[in-house]
Amino acid sequence: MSAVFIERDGRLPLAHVTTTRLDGSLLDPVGKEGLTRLTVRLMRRTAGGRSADENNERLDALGGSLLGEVQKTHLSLGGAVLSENLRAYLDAVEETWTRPGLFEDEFDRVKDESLAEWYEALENDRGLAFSTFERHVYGDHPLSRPAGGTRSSLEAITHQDVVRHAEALGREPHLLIAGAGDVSPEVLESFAARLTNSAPLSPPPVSEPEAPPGRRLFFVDKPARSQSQIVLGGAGAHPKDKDQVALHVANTIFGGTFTGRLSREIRIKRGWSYGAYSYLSLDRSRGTFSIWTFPEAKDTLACVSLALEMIESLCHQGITKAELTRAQRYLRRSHVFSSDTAQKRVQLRLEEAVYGLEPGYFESFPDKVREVTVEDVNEALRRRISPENLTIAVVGTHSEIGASLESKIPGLKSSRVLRYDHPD
Amino acid sequence: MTQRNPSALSRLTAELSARAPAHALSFEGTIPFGPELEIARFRLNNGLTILLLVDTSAKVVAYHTWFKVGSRHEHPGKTGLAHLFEHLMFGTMEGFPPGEFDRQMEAAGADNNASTWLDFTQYQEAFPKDQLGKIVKLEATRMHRLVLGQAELDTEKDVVLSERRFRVDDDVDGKVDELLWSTAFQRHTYKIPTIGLEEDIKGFTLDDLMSFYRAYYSPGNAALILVGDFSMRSALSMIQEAYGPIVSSPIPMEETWPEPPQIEERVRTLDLASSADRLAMGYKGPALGDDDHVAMSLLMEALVGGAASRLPKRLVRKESLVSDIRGAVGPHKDPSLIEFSAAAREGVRAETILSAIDEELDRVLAEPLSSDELARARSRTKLALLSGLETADGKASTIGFYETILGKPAAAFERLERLGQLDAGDLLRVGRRYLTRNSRSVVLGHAKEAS
Repeated sequence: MSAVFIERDGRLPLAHVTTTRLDGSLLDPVGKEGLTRLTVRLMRRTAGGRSADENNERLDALGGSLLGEVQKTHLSLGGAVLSENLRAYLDAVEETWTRPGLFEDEFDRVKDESLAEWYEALENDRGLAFSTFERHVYGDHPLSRPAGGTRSSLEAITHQDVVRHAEALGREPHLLIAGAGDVSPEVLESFAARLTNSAPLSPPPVSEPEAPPGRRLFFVDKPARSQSQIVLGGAGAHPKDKDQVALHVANTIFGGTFTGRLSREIRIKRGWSYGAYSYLSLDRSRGTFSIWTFPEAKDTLACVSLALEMIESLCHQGITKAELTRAQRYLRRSHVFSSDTAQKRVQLRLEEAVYGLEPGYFESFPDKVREVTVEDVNEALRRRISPENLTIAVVGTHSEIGASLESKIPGLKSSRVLRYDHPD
Repeated sequence: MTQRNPSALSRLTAELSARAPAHALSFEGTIPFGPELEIARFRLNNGLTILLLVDTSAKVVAYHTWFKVGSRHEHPGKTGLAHLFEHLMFGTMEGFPPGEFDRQMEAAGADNNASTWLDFTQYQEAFPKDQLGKIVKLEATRMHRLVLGQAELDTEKDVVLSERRFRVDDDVDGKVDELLWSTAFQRHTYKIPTIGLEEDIKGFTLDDLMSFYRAYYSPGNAALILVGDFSMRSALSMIQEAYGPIVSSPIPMEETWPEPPQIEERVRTLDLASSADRLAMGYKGPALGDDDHVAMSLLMEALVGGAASRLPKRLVRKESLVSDIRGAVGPHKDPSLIEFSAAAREGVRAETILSAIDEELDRVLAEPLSSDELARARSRTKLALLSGLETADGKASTIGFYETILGKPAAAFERLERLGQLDAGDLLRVGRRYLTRNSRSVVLGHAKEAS
């Protein structure tokens, strides 16, 4: 018995396959963050007891991509393939889960490359701002531990750690399996039957995180920055919250689109930043609410202050009926783009299963949006978003703007300066 | 199959033209787009090219407008004009107050965006199929009824400067890439960065922008691409009514100079506020329309197309010199660059990476690729093409791009067919022709961390 989702569309000779486990980087032991991701990579490279070169060449020859994605609460392995080679591709996926070679020399390489990627990520200011925000938004809660690991946690992982972890992941692969495009249901069902003989396990619960009290600044100091990358926010939505849809509508109004409040004030009126948006992340646990923008260094304090004022105004004054009507119209009409390909349709069904939502949740999303009222949105904002308890991550040059931020951000409770090459 | 009867389309255009003779439409034929679909080509009498592809796989329409103007049409001192203008196309229009364009797009549930590059500027929307009438009117209006104000221009200059800081000034790859192109091209306007130089962006006036608008945003310089679930009759009728009255203007003669042959290697060094070195290099390569472009693209796929290709296999996996290496053949109207770019591992010098790449390129010029390597490169190329055609928007982008650069909207499939005909000898020939050191430019980006 297994959970298999299929959306057929044979118009292009292309197939998509995803296999998903309902656990992820939260499995990583403390101090060995990145273990699950490193393990999935090694499994993929040594599938079927082949060398990494042999597996890479095999996938390229099939016209296939096969990637492992590790989130906090779930992980997936899959990709796309020319449909004429679907059976051979499924063999490769199966061998990844059930017969990885886990060779030590390849482990050394995967670890070395993971460290190099961590190092390379330091060049990406936007990525640094987001990872710093995520690292601190929930304090010491396990959700704050990075799925990709840190330099020290990656260095601490041994081959034995990975072998043991791979055995646990592959021993009873309770998987959700999704196929889309030019796929035959018989082929996919047969693959599922070979790969997994039981229904997906009930996922382990994730404890409710809490945003630490007060406004906290984490300044990532990087030399010679002409602009600042800012990510600020706090606790967000859980997919099973009754007011999750109302909060989604609120985010659309605030910073989900080009005409949202943030873009209007920061980009259109003041020309401070090319982008100003807000996000509600969705996972099997409580996600985050965050704002991203990147003004010139000299405008950083003004921009942070304005963003904070805007969050306060959103939560205290709420939204208007006209804003709600516009957001509802946009969300209901644009919903068609979440299901305009077979791959997107199957992805929604998969997400329902991953998040524990009822089947058809996303299909009926436009109806749910229509039912939301101004009061629902304002109540959700008051309940879920706390303007007083926010994490503010800034990547910039501290000697130029750090002091003014530390002394003038309204209501700042604490501040830390982090070296960009030692952000942990 | 959704193939249509050409004579029925001729009758349709004749009927629509008879209703509005001043805005006559002509049917110019159909073009297969893969085995299942077909593009119908029309032209309005003001010169607007219309390409329609009915695809009922989803209840959506992708609507793209491609203009044959990009940074290749700019001059030193006035760089970034096409890109800045693209930003202003989301501003005020006659009959629409500031911001109304975006509000109406969002009210339609549309996902919209735009981009500018060397040879083109394009605007795109994808929306539910019942919103087509509204989008046609909005797009037609901004093609000829844009209103530019000083305040709007000033703010948008600041926004573009922010974009420049994001993509170039605070981005090591952006900086290196800008220097590579300005080194490789000395005469041709491909040397101009599309986003523009800071001082030039600050200096633009309303007159500059209005002159540009009048010169290049003429229907005769544009192609309209619709892909999705719509009625051909209804779409043509709406387009004729909305775009027919737009008066065409003569397109300025292009004054681009061809790039003189490069006869010696050019090497530049650049200090980067970074913790690791960067390398970028570009060989003078074929234009997109050159038959060699397909062969060279296939060779690049074998060299840098994936983990199993030669350069990542050696530089990433075997010798741990780089964390990432990429490459591509510039898809441009005129001959441009075959580019390689690499991010060094901690402590590795850009010069070391260059030596390793040179050894691999020497090898690829000395002996042909194996049949397995060739087959893998073909499969990867096919996967990439098909992956880009799953949505209406992806199809419209593919059609618009090849129509604008080559005048052949289905050229992607011609290239795919050509891929199957190429052998290792073809790849050896193009490699030897283009990967010559005297035609290349190199940027060595050295990490210089500020204390």
